[in-house]
Amino acid sequence: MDQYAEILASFPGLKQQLEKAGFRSWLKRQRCTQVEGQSYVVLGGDRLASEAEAMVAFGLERGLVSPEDVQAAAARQPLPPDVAAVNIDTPEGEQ
Amino acid sequence: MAKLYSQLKAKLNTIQVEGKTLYVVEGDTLLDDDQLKIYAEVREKENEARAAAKKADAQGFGASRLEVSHGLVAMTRDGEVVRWAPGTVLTYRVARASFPSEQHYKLVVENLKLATGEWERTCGVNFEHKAALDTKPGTDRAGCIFVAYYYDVGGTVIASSFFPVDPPERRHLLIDPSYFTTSFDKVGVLRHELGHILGFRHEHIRNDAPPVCPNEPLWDTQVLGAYDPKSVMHYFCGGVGSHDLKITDLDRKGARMVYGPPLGAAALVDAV
Repeated sequence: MDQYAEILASFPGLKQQLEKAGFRSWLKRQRCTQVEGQSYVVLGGDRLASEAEAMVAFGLERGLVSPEDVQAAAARQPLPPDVAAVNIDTPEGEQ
Repeated sequence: MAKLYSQLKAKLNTIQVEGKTLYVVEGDTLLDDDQLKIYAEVREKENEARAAAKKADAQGFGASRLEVSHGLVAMTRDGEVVRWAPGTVLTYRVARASFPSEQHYKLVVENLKLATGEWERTCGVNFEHKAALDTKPGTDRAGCIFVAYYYDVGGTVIASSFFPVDPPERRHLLIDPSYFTTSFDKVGVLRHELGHILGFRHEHIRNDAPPVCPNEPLWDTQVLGAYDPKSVMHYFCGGVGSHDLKITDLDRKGARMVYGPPLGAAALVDAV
């Protein structure tokens, strides 16, 4: 399962809220495609996003879920074993 | 504003979607009439700003020579930058049987070789083409980190890749038929897609980018330095970006913050 499905699952009721807010009609206006039998939504030009990822993006865009909450939910998902997370300090004044 | 708007309205290709006329700008962005007006206004203001900066530069007051140290936008998890684990060799295969001809396959193999080589000279990453696995039927990864293959997604994208955090079954680099006819630099398109594979997000999602550039959620990003309109990860939008998609000096410095110096360079330093 992708991390977005897990993120969605960690917010009880959010899916229904997103559906109510018009996710399906928004989805119809997006470019969609099928790869190997899987449906994807084209986000940001070249990202083939799962429906769960698109739902999270929609929820963030409409303010139905906060970036901080999504970040916290994602932090609970394990990274693939060949991937690492490292702390990188960005020099002050260059943000 | 009215001038550029009228010019664009007369010049741009249009398509009809559900009875509505949409204007095609910058290759893949569809705008309705109201959006086109805003787009024209923003473009004119940007053109004015660039002209003013050029004039100031010519008189020695310009800001365009100010030094910035590094660029790129990295993907994060729990506040830390996501990268491939140190020592990971980014192995890949190019699924030969998916391509309509030997010529198409060879072009992608060659362009991937060039694009991966450029990232290897940019920062501490190591790609390896497992050419012996190319003839394996199907499009599975066959033990590689990722597989590149030809797949007709109807031109919705020229190519599409994945991020390190995506589940392993998503680790594919799709090449749409439009890749072979695009006006963008074909090696550049792969440089850009490989940038995503390394964990870099689009440069144009930053607040400093022109507002007409596509938006994306920023909850899992960390900027590694100053906005770079010429970044390999920047789309051609809002009058900035480029069709070449070259790795810039700012990209190089940003990538080195995450992956360190090129491995070849490190080996040379060790040998000394």
